[in-house]
Amino acid sequence: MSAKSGTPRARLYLLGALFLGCASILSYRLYTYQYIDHDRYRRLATDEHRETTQVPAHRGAFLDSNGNPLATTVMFDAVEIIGKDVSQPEATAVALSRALETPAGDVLAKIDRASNRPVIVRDRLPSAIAERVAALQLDGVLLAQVAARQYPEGSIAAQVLGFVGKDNKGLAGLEYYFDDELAGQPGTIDTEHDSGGQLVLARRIVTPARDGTDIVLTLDRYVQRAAERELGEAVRQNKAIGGIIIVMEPASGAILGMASLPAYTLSDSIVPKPEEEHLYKAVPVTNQYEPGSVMKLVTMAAGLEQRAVTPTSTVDDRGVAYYGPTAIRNWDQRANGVITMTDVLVRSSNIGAQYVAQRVGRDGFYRNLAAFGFGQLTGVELPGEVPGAVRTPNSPSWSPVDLATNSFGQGIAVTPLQMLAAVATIGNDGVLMRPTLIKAMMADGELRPSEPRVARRVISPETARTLRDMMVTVMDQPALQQNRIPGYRIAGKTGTADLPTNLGYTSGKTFASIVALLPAEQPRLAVLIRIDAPEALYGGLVAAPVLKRLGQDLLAYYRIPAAAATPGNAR
Amino acid sequence: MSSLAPPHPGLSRLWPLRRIRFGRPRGVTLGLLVLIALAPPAYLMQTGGALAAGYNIQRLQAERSAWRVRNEQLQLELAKARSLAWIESEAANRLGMQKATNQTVVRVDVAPPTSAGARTASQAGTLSAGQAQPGPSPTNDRPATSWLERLATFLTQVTAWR
Repeated sequence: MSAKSGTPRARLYLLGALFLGCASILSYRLYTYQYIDHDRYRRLATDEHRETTQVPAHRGAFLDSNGNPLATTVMFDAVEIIGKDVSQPEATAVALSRALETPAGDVLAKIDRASNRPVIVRDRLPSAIAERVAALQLDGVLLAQVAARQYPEGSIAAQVLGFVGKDNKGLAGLEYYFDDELAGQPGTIDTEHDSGGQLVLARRIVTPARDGTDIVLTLDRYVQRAAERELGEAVRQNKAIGGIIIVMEPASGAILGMASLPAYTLSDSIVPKPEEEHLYKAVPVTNQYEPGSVMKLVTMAAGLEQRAVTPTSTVDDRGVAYYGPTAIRNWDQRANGVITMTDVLVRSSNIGAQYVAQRVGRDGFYRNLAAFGFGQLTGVELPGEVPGAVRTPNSPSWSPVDLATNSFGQGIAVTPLQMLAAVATIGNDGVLMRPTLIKAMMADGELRPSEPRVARRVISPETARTLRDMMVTVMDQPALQQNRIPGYRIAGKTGTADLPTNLGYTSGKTFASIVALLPAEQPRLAVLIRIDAPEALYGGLVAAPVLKRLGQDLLAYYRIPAAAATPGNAR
Repeated sequence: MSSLAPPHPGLSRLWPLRRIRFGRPRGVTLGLLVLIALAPPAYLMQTGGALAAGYNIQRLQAERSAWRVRNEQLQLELAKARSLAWIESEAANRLGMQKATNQTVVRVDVAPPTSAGARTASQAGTLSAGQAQPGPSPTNDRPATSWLERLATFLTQVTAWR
């Protein structure tokens, strides 16, 4: 009896133990699910129901000073095919080819039945065609929106504007410099779906995207186009290897046009190539050169300002000056005799220029160079700017010959923009303005104008006016008569400097340049024209005709009266 | 036996309660039952409504996005049509225009701008390219002249200048 009764009890205990064991395991699992792995499972559950979609921010546009778009981002549709989802490849290819107006064979070649990755058939589709494709409702055919940078004015100011990569990030020029401002902040849409995958309205959190800042540039599309046209023509006519034209407003430092050649072509799908890297740089600020005789203006400014000379002071130009064993000669190897300081500029006398530098003294001369901004960054909003190279008496390699050669623009390296800013200072009654490309920024519907920035006063208004008068005499000389603009007084100075190579200077290859203030009485435009390695070598022969054509165009465009120029903002 | 009489003698003690249970409370109970019955459809309707609204929002957003894209593309086309490159190409190729080889500058003396005109000019801020310099303003304080007279004056000045 006891054995019989013991057996069920044992079984009962066993069963109980089994249940207890199972319950313990279940409890343990429950404990791990609910307590130990709580966060993980909660996250998994949330992830299954929640979806965060990124809302891309609209990249800001570049506008010219009159509000015309130069670079803007536009969304386009792209047609993609997932081969695995296409049920009838031939029929799909034919239907798509009709809508896209492309050969059916090309479309068919992109349908890979084994692949479940989307393949782009055509991108940058206008809405009208995208709608036609959508209406076809083809299996495996998707429409995706992609942003593309567009250039309504065509390829102008390529090196200034720069370009963006496939990911819409700025890679060069202003696109790179202002990438953070232009990019904006992407937004998000946080949604939850029910078990059927449908959107649950009540759980929708939207963080709106903050669109990028639109940037209004000081560039004027007309000036930019005119500068590029004239530069291209000059380079072609003179069989040159390149060149630069910059147009600036002296009163504000605003850059109205900045053209350089060789350049690249702006398009909506630029793929940067290492061998073209040198084309992507904003050469007017990244490359330095020896300015040549144009620098005599700066030397003369120092002489006049420090009262070391006057326009009528004379120098006996014997064609050569010795610094120890080193002989300094005039560009034409000739002696000009006793000439006035105005004649020093007119005849571009190296001997006269070194005489002024000697009169000013080395400290005064280099202080003047620094005041004009040489050897320093201008602070213009372009990447890769260089300060130039000025060897001062503090440099171990400096010698007195440097003072002489620097006075006529040799043995010193400047950027074209530095040179123009210095000339614009003479046009702005002696006040150096910081060159700028930015007129205003437009963010969140608010326009924030950019104020002109004064760097410093460099010379007195009297010195500036005197120097302008001397520059007018330069432009009125018989050799430049044919390049005068009828009805206008133009202040200018030509320059010619040898082109350096890795092996020294190349004879027969020069930088031929001219700087000018238009009109001379109250300058509204400062212009620098440089043609690289032209056949005709000299600034007066090569760059002066370009100034005439461009100057006529710009004076007419800005409606600057011929006889009595009026002050005003050129922008 | 009246119809309101207790059905069983034992229940006679509970009779008042019976009245309470099946009198006004019947309405409450019915109301509760109706509410309970309506709750699932109401919930479904609310959920369905929310889903439908969600769909609508998605559809409208897609529509708005499409219109926005279309608008951007049209603005781009407009900008291209207004670009100097296009204008130049149209002028040269379609209209057969070419750049003037010889520019003549004609200086025309005009009356100084009136105070109203000056005010307008100052309000306009900086002078943009393409805008005329402050010149004669068509205000009432200026004697009215016919276009023929103005043309004659202009031609006289041009002739005198040449």
